[in-house]
Amino acid sequence: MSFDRLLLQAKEGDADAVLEIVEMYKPLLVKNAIVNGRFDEDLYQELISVLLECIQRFQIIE
Amino acid sequence: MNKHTYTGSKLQNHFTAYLLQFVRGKRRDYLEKKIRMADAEELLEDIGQMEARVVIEELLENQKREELLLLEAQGKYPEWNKMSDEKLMKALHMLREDERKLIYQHVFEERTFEEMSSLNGLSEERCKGVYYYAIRKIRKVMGGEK
Repeated sequence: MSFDRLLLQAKEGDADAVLEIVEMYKPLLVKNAIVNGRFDEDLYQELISVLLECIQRFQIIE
Repeated sequence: MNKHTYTGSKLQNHFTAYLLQFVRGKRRDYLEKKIRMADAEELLEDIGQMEARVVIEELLENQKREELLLLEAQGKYPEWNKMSDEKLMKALHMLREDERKLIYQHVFEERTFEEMSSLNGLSEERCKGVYYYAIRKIRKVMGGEK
């Protein structure tokens, strides 16, 4: 499935699509949740919610 | 290679860039908040300790005053009540016996804290502590004039 379709489905509220996008971006979020060499669980959770919000707010312009 | 590696999708690149912007912003906010909270906690601890000290000092002082009044009621006046300065006298009355002794030794006998330490069987730090605490008390009672 192309990312475009996946994102569209996620925006429409498809839980599986959202989950797949979360999986896809997990490495990026984990990397950004490391503070002073330690993984910060709270920050990671914040970043997950940032991702969910971004999925909703991102505007697809063809 | 799994399906989540680079796909060349323009839209995905845009989305990733968009996401990164917010992720970095969130990370910055989060770290700043954490630092602020750590600072605030330190400050609160300081204030808490200060208040605890003030309360203890007040309690001690009230206790001393009561003891003194009790003694006076029994007709036992401290020896230094011949002093002319009433305020200073009042202040000295409020000190404990050991505080008075330390002040006497340091001010009138001009002994060092080291000597006082061995004389009284207290540590040097303790002598200093008691002495300066007593001085502070006197200053507080004398008030306004300095």
